[in-house]
Amino acid sequence: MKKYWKTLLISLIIVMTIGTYYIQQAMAKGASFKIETTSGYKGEIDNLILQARYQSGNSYRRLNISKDGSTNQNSSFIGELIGRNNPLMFQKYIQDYRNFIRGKVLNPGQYFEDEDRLIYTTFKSNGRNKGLGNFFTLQIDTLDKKTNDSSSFEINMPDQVRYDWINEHDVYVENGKIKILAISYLNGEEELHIYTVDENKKELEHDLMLAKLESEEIGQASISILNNNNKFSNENYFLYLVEKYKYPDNGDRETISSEIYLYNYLNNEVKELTIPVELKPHVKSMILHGTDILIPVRSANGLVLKRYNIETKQWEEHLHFKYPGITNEDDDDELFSQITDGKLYLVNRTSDGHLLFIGDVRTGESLYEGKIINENKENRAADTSLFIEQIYNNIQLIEEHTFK
Amino acid sequence: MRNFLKLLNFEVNRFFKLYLILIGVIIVSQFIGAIVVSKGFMDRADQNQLSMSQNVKEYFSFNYFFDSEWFLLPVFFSIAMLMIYVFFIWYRDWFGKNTFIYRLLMLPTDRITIYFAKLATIMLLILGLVALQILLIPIEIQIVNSIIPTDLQSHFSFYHFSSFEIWGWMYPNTFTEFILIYGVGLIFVAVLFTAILIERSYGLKGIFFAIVYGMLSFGVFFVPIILNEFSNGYFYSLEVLLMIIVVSIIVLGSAILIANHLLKYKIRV
Repeated sequence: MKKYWKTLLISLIIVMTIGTYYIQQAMAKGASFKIETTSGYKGEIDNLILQARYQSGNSYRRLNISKDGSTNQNSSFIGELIGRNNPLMFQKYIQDYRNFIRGKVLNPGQYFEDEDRLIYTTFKSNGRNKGLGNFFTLQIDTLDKKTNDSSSFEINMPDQVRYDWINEHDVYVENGKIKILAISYLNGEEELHIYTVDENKKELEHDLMLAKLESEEIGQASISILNNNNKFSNENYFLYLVEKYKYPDNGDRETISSEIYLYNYLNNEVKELTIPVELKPHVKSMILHGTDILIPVRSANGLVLKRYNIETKQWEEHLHFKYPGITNEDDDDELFSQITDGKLYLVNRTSDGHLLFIGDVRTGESLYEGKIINENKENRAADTSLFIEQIYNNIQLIEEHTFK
Repeated sequence: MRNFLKLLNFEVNRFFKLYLILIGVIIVSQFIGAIVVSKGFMDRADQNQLSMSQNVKEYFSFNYFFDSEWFLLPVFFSIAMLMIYVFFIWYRDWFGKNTFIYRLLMLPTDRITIYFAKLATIMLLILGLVALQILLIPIEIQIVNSIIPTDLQSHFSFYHFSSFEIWGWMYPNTFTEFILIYGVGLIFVAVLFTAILIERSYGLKGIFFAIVYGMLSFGVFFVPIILNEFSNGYFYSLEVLLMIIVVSIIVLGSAILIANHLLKYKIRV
């Protein structure tokens, strides 16, 4: 035995050190957060998942916070492999329709879903054409959710349709028509289009251009779509904003014009919305909610939700949500807000953690108030902070405990 | 097994002195590095305080140390040394003072045991240095702490270093990844060993065969990754991993089979 001491010593050191290192690493949780209810109905957060980023200097980790605490997203390699780092909203679809989703882009703007079908649309480029952009074909895949059969067809886009690339933002399906909302780019030009496809004839029926930015306008204009595109189902309207601006010598961006348009999928009508002057600075945070357009505006002790009804064309009485702990009214970066399924979700940084507020958008009532608290404050890094990126409700997650 | 252990111990013994020197170089360089980098940071911090009226606070991150040549050079030096030793461990037996390989091949044991013993030696030496680095970090943290006041440091727990690049490769986040990465390393060494044996068996012609064999193994190993690249994300990541594991087994298995055959029938002394 004595003869082998060198080999034994090296082996022992290896096993002990690397073993201890990984055991301790598995136990070191890093930043962990929990939600503490202050008031309201606890059940509100039962199915809530807050997708967040915890940043320290230029390194960050992703985590999901729910009522059971927080889970680190990028600590597990196997977890990454089984797709736990795929966008949360796609995890259930990958589980249920593994073969259909295979090889498809995980961008919610390219999907449509109703009770019977899941439809995926994608523009595929067919090679370059001497600096004049790419030719595209539009591929539409349909999955019958009941029989699990899928079918697919391709449409050649007309010859004049040449772009560098096309970004899809929404798919609307009704009465055998598939309408695709997309922004296409060519040599600095930007165009907002609605492509209408006839499902039965399998052909492009109509190509409507809603807005265009010329290449001279690079950096001085933008088209943005204000809908929440984390949804597969139909929304009858969408809002888009065309902004023109300039950068004077002193550097601050100056808006020249900002026009908001409302497009109605049902009758293909476009209308410009007139926004009261005092709301103009807040147009970027506009949210379309059913037949309401909502604009959240900060107030001294909470948040005011301005409401415009599309059908009655009236500004309705605004809703006032009151919550404590606002430190700085102008500091928009500190506030996260999201409206989903009739509820307003707010996360606001306060001196002792983050406030989570849930309100009812229909009645203006406060439903829930709580705090997101860092559980191991003593080893919190000096320059770290928590950023909420997205809140999900009622999403089925891949079980955490099955894999390490 | 007994023969394997004897051979392994024999190989470790042969490298031990050089190994100790390597360890010494790493320790000295990193300790000096920890001091130099910390002192340099403090000098800059002092200057900043003098020159700037507003309080721009820069925090010391352990990254500074990881990015410095004091840390990186010994790491790369060790990698280079061990890479050279992958070749040396075979060729010294042929070109040493007395053709030692003759005695090795005459041992009353399967000749492939020699191959396994040498392979295990290389892995043991690599993992030994990997473990050494884990032991050194807490000491280096102490050195940094004794020079830089803690309120000038950005705190990242020891177990979160894996966010830093080189550390992330040497010490992946989970034990599974650790096994995978060093498993790939093992396959790489095994393929090199077999290539060496091909050269030793067929002489000049063998060099050509060895290169072809090496490229072939390399190519097979990368099939899943290339396939994944060209299929535009058709495969889910778990499927890609399974494919990689399958080709790894094929590459490692064929390396051992070829080596076994060569050692038994073809090897020239």
